[in-house]
Amino acid sequence: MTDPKAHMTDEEKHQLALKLDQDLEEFINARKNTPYSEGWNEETWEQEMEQHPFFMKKLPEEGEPLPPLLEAFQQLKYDPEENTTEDLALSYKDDGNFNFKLKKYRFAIANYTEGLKQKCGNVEIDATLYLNRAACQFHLGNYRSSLNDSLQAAKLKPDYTKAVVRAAQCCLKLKRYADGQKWCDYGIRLKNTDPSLVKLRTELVQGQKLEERNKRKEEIAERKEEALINELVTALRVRGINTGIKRKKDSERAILDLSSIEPCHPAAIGKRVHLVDGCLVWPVLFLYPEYGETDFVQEFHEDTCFMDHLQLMFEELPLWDLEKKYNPASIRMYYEHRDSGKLHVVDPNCSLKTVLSQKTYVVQGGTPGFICLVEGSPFQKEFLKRYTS
Amino acid sequence: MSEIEELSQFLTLETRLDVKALALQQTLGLTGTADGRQMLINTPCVVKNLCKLLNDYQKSVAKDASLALINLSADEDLTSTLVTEGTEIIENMLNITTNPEHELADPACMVLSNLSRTKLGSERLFQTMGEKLEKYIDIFCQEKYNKKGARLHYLAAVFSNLSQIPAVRSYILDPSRTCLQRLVSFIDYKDSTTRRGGILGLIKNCCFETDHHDFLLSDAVDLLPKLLLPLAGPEEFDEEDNDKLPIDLQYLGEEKTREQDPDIRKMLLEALTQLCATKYGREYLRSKNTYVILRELHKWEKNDNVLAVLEHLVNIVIRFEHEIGYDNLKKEVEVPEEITEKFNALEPAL
Repeated sequence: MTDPKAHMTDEEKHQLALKLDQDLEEFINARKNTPYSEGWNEETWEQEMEQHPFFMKKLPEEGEPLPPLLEAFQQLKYDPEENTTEDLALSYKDDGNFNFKLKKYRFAIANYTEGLKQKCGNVEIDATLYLNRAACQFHLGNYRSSLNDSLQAAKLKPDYTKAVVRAAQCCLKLKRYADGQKWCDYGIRLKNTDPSLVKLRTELVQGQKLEERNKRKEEIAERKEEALINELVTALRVRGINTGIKRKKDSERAILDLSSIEPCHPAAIGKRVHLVDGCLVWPVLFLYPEYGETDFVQEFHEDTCFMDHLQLMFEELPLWDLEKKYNPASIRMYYEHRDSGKLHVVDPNCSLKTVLSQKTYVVQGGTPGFICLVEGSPFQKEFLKRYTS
Repeated sequence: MSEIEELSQFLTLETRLDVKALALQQTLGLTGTADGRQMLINTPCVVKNLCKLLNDYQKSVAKDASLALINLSADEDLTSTLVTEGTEIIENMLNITTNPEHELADPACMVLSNLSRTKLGSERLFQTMGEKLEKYIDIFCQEKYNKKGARLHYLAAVFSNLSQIPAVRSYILDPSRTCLQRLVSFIDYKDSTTRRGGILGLIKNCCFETDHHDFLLSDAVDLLPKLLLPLAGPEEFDEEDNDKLPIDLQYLGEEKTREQDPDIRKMLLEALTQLCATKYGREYLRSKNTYVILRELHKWEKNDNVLAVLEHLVNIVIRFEHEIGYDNLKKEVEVPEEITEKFNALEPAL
């Protein structure tokens, strides 16, 4: 190809340049009569630039009046009079997709919702809107909403594999394993082979198995616990020990209410009476009202007697015993019968079992307690007086 | 015109009901004897007409026609004639099976299961089904697919028969499909021994494919727990043993019961034995604590046939790999002919 300009001589080029300059000059002179009036004002140009849709740096806030140009654009795009519902739905879909890409899922959800509000009646568009909204909800962790939207999409378009995959993913998150498997099977049927669905299905099956295993394990543990409790309650009943355990009705089966033998003394919490080789082991409290002191024996075997423990506890004088008068020989033990308000003397050479089996003994708060006083002391006289009056 | 030809004329939808019913009674009677069946099959149109009568509006007629076809197809000597003579019996039965509104879907499945017992019959059936096999599997997996109460359990027997064909096995073992995954869940199907047995037959056949053992034992199919669960009882294991078991078998409660049917227990063990043909399979079985399940089963099992298979399997499981010395017992071990004969002679005893 030949270029005609290539054949111009330097003289000709110069002439042409001169002519063009002249033309431009004439054009500018001709324009001088009509002064430019639409330009931005020198004082306010920054503000005006900010309001121009091309240059604006941030979107107008909610409620703020829209700059006229922007309003015009919006009308073009969103005015129901200018657009069909289908166009509008598509516009909102595009907005949603834009926000989705920026990971602004809540905005995107609002966009898709607007799109659906148009009720454009186009199944393809509506199904996409639902599914895209489902994707946003999924990313926000709203799996239930996501599932609902996926199902809506699949309802509109029964062969929408993507919707089925999303529904199955939600089911996995929601631990609705059986439903998830159904959706996988449905999806696999739609699309003979789909590795992602096959994989998802495997995950769902594994999840379900784990859940079932844990349930079985729990049930077995529960049953064992129940058997243990029954054994304990039987042991208490055989010994005629009064603990105030009640049966409470719970839906189908009677459950034993063990709260009455659950220790409430801070030192005894979690040390409930239990069976060791068919014998009961109790948490026991020794109370010294004279000094407001207590001793706590975590494991008091029912066949041992009080003297054994007293000797062990008073091997050394306790710090609080200012008068050095408390020792196994001087201590007298009592228990209180709540209903009659009477004190009963305990023989320190008796086993715990013998004392607890007495009709007048009621175990309070799962922890047998015994009052210890010094025989012949003024405090003893004082204390016993309260019970005789 | 022979008597049978005369009879076959009345076996049409258009015939007057009383005549048709009578002719059908005669035909059904003939299917009871070998000679009668031979006569019927040698007369053109009889089978074709019977197939059509399955769609008769009169239920008793359709029922009798289906019974006649079941009897005919049960005779393995007739299978080749039935499936090759342009009778369209396979097509007809498949159509009825897939029709959710047809009341005779179950008898149709039985006919198909009878026909597919021979190699020729199953090959013809697979030809007719072709790539649509998955569709039939799908129908089979859908509880209440048939709206008239047919349960389609006999399709399991059909699949079991079909799995004698290598092409069917590789179709089912294709990892990109989920055929096997869905079928294995019927191994412990409570309502029907036919369904359980049929599916197990298919799985056992698939276990012969040593190249697919890794797929069969992978998470996707997860065959081992499916095979072990029906063999597990209510016995309690300690935590260590439980944790080593496949997750489905951990902490089974005291109400757990074993598979009732000894034949099915035997098949389960045979399938496990097939998985032991490869080193991969053996090591997998050992790693999943299969032994404790087999040990407890052995204490419980009373049936001699099952015990024989069980003991053989335990012998493989408890041995060390260096004692076995082969990676793949099927491909690497050559069995001398005279020993094969001895085994064959022993086989009926098992």
